Amino acid sequence: MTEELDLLMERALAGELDGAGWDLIEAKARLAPETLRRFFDLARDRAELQRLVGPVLDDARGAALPSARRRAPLARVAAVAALFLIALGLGFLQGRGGRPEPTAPQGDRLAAGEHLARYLEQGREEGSVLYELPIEVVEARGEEKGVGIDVFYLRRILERRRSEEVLTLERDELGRPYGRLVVAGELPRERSF
Amino acid sequence: MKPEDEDLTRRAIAGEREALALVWERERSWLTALVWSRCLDRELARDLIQEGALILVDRIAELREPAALRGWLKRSLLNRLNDELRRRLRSPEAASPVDPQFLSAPPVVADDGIWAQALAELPVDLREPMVLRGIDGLGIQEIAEILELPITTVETRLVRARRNLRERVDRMRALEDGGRRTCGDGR
Repeated sequence: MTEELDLLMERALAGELDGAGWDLIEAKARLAPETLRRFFDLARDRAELQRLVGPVLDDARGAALPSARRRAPLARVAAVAALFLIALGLGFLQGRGGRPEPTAPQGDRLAAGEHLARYLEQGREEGSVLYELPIEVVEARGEEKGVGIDVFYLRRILERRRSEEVLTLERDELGRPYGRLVVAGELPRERSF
Repeated sequence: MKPEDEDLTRRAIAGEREALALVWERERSWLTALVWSRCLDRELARDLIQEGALILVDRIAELREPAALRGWLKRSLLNRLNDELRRRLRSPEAASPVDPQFLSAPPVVADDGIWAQALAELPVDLREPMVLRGIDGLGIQEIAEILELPITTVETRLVRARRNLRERVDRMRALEDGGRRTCGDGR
């Protein structure tokens, strides 16, 4: 099968072939019946490829153009400071109930897992905890004495907190991070989960 | 780039918001497909295409020539992609073994079957035109423009890519069939 014929069939499938090209394929198919088989294979490859690329193109269509960014230096400093405060706040919340303790229970002390279970249960009742997502393993390495394996993982809890202002972490053209203030109107209102 | 496309790009460079939105609609599909063809990671491609939108909004005014738009967008995003892939390679989770108790967790990447596997095994220089060819309405001339290659090179690569893909799919099918027969014989 010549490269030229493959190219003709490629163009035919993309709807880019003129009448003379189709005639040429037909003439070749009369002489060599395997041409039709090759044509069928190409059509199928094309369909399978479009099936694979389709969801990626759907993602592309969902990528909206953002509004122009405002980057006043003072606002940027304030935004980064606010981000830092939010991070501190989250750290405080985790320390209060969400961070598993590595030690075993002693006497009346609750084990870390029990603390976490209480936190999740109370959060669900109050509406702040929505789901606990599957654990994500970060690393596994041999324990120092060679007895077991230490597994490092992230617990992922989907929580909700209503806020009047949120910031997104973005990067400027030099790759430096900064926080951008997001207004409610910019965000989608539909539920994604 | 067609004259009408160049005109639209020129208006976008001049700061016309509506023209900018149309330019983005015109460019985002091939840009996403190209990034995905390099990494085959939908989530990463999705993140990067959002960055592409930001780059366009923030920096299109820096462009002098409308015809340079596609090359500029492509290089900006592929540089970001390379940075991200390098960062992932350096991260400790890159080659980490997994504790068996977590194996029941849902897989991160869905199995799209042998076609996806065959596509993943194609060399990047063949995979790129092949994936771009999967976009309806994107002709060979435009693919050549995006990849900054002569049309004949794109055509040759497409033919080689299709043959290569077909051979891989046939081989995987034969292996699957062989495996099934072996299992059947053992019963």
